[in-house]
Amino acid sequence: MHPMSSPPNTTHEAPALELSDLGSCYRVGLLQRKREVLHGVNLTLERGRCLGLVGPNGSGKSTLLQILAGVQRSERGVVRVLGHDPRRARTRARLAYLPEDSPFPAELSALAALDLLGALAGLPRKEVRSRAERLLERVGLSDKRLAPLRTFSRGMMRRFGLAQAFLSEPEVVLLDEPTAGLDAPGFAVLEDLVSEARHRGASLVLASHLPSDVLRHCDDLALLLDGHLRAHGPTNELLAVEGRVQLELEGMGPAPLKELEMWVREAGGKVRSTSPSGRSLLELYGQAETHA
Amino acid sequence: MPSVEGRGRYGELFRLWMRRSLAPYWSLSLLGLLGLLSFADWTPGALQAGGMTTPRLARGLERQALWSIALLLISGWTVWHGARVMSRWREGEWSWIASRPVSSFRVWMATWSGASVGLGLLLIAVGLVVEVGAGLGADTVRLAATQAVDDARLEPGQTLELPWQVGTPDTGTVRIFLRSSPGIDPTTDVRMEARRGKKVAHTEVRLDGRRGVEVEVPTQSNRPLTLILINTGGGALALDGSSPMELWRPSGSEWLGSCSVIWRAFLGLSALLGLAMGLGGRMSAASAAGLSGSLLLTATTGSVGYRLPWIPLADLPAAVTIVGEGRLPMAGHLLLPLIAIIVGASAWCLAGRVR
Repeated sequence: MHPMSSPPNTTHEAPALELSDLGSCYRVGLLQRKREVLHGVNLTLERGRCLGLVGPNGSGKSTLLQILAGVQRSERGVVRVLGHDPRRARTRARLAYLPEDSPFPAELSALAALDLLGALAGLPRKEVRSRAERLLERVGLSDKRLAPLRTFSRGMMRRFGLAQAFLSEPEVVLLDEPTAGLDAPGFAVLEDLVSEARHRGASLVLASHLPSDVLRHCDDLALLLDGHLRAHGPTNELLAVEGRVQLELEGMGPAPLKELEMWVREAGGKVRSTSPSGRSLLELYGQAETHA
Repeated sequence: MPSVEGRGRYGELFRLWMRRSLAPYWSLSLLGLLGLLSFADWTPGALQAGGMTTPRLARGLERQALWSIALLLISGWTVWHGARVMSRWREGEWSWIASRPVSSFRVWMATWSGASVGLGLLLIAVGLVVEVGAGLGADTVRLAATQAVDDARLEPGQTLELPWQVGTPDTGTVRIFLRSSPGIDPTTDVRMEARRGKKVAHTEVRLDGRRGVEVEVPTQSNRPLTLILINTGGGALALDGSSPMELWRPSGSEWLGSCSVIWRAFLGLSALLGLAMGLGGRMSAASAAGLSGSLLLTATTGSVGYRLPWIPLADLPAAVTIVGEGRLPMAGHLLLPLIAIIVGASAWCLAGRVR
């Protein structure tokens, strides 16, 4: 028997996201005039990577995420999530989406709402309940699990939104303005959930109009302006062009900080701003509580 | 990784919409209002003064009043509740529904059927309040069959024969609506006979305006039934063709009247809910509610219910009127459940693309 050459590798894994010439519009006014929201967006995100989708309000970020989540149709172009059309139920079973406005049923308790969302996701009943309890604990809402969502503050609602997004351990996570309304502990919850998702190989898209909120998590960055994709690439490369670095320091008093600023100036750089970070404030507050 | 079945379960969504139909601020207010109104006396003063009232009629009038008020409020609320579904979806709820592995038709059916079942439970609760207020009542008669009649005028001394052609009734009473014609003498006397072979039953009444005249059906005979009207008075007499001849048979207790109203209202309002939901996908909630309300008014006024009893809600006003007499309406048209399901499910196509 002659040795046969091995067949070509056909198990090529499709990227997490593939957008080709994506266009979307909505109709306005009595005459239903078309208004373009997205213009020929081309984008690819490999599996296991995290994309930061940044741009000002009204740039088309939410529309793009809704199309990726299968909530909205695109007018033209090709959209593939994990190699498939996101409007297929099987594809949507593998992704999770956090909408911008947290429009969850306000009359339900947090636990009942997660039961509903888990049921729609096709998760087995028992599993939904145990995962819901655990997630509410992680996002710091376990003592509010039986309270109606209408009694939640914006930040609590956002944490609930994060809990529902990670209910089914999705392969692709789409978070629209995940930091909006979050307090410092809320940021920690987001960081924890995002890190865990990345650790198990999930792909993420974090859309925000405040790049500083999402940059630390992102491998890739995409800048959307007026529905046009203006820049796309690895975060380090894109930010290197700008020549700006955000530095977070710990345990440095005012005098050495002043010296450091002077050294930066001498080296030809410029310190744009110096302010205590939210996290150090939290640590301060925590220490004060401990001493008391 | 948890096992994902790939297909969403819809029971929780069904329960959510059932709860929304039974929103406490709305359902408890309605039941409280009806509870208070049940203490009022709903028998018109003219009937009480004329000594024409009976306990059965008084109970019937109370049922009619309470059901009329309840159905008026529930219909309006149903139209608005249905029309709001799509705008709720557009305002954001669709984003957490559609991003799950669900079929949009099943989402529609879970939403519509959940809201309808909630509505049904509310109608049952209203029925309980009505019956507690009116008292369950005694045995009564049920409308068993109707037969259309033409308008006719009988001068003094004239006779009119009306053969009964809808089956062969073995027992019960037949009712015909007659009117004394206005003229020199606005009153007249009428003799009404029910004849089967040699067996004859008759009744004689004095007419002053419009009223139903009833005669017993002769029993123990298989011969065809003929009704004979004889104008024995001095004024003219008119047979009112807008109401059919009715055959009434003894059947069950008065409280079954509320059950008939609940069944008709449930089927009709479910269909209306689906229609309002569908229209809400094409226009604003206010416009969809307005259009659905107009369709409701068209279906429930005039003689639509008499001519097209398979149209949901069309025969509900007539059924409530019959309950008001302390009697039981005819069983609803056999096609009603089917039509309600078809309207509710097919409104999904009317709704179009939500997204």
